[in-house]
Amino acid sequence: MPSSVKTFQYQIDFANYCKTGDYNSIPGVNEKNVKHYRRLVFNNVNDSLSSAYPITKKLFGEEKWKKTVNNFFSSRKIQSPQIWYMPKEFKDYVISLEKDLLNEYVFLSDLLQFEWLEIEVFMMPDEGLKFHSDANLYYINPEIRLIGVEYPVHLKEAKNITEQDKGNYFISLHRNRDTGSVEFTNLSIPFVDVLENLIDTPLTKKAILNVLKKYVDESTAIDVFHQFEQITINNQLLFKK
Amino acid sequence: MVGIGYRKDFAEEFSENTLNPAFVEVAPENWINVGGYYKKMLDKVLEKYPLFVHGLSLSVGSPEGIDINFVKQVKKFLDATNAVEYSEHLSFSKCENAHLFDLLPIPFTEDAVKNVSKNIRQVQDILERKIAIEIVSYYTPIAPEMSEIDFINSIVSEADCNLLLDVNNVYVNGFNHHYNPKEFIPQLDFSKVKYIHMAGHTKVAPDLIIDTHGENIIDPVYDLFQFTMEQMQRDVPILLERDFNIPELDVLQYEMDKLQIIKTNALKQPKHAIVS
Repeated sequence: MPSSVKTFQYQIDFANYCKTGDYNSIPGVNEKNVKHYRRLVFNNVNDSLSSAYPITKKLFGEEKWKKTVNNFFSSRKIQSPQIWYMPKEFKDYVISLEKDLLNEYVFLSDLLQFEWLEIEVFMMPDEGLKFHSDANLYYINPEIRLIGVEYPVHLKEAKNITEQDKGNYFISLHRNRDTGSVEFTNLSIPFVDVLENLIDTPLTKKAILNVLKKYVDESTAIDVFHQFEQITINNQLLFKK
Repeated sequence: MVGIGYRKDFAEEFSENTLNPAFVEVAPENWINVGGYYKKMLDKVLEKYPLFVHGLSLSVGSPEGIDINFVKQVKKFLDATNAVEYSEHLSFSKCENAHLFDLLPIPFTEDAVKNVSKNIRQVQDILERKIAIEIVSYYTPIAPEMSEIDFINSIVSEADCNLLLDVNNVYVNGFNHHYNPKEFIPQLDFSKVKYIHMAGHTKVAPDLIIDTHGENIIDPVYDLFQFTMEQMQRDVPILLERDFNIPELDVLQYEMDKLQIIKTNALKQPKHAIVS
């Protein structure tokens, strides 16, 4: 074997040991100390994922959690150089490959998506908000994600969610521009429609009521709009000039 | 001047002017394409303090080479923040295109020297600036064919890069691998040293120290720092790193003040004539 191939192969063997914990002898390696690399590398990944998915980790329990993290880390080639982004790759891995877990917890895919989006919204680049001259327009917070889920992972404690909870739930997660904290709002379909329209362009109250009137009568639309306006202006889901 | 590794863990306290560093250092990986609360705080910090950038994921030791797209993102970050210096680790953290998020030791071999030097030169070409490469702590060698000092000096020479001298790492390596740090340090090319890191460590076994950045700097490392400054006789920026187990910030200020005093005194040392 050419020497460069040897050097690279030793690096690959060493990295594989750090990923899997399975050690195959490498020349010159101190076998007593090498275990610290596996420990440090795995703990770093585990700590990052534990912080990202506290609800999922609690649901799994320590043993199942560590096994899942180990399965992920030993089998996947993590692509992002940014460790804060790694949990997205973990979510994608579990949703696509951990079939037993998905069968055991029917809401797991929704839960992981919800927990990941909280990080994504917290970390996402700042988006400017430009107000038009018309003072009557409502604007949506641009630091937002909307998702639809089948299980109420945002409303119920994970361990209490059952098949009977299956339905259509809609959630917005947005970042408060003053505190930086991520807040979620449980949405009914008419307000999903309103927010999707607001993502396209700012709307007047009349235009928002017209969207709501597709679902309810005018008097109900006015009532629910006022409640929604009060909540969403307070929590910065919506802005008005 | 003495700076501090800026961390979200103490960002709130830092904003109240509880520390007085000459500059701050951050890892670009934690801030590229990031916004929100902590980014706004960092932007305020950078209105006041110059920025040194110290990377984690460049992985100059990767057999497969560097991630060019990532280097381009780093360049944008350096430009956007007016970064004074960009440094990285003489290690690999990505292998077979999989990130491991830790600093793994590169085999001390001629082939690794060639590969690492090529990678560093490519990074420097893209960034249009020299980078400073940090001597990392390590807990085992891998298939070494040459000495650590020859490995480092060969890369600094072949890559035509600068050196980040982490004095604590040299202390840790001297302890773990049974050599005298005061014999190691003078063998470095001091003209290439652009930056010094100082930190604490953790002794996990009677014969092993792990470079945790989680404790206060111990006296033997201060002593090695003084020795280094006396040997170099040149002022370079000094950084205090503290990543875990963050103490009250006045403890960090005390450590920064102590480093400044040691450096000032070491550089003031008179050179007496000797009989030839």
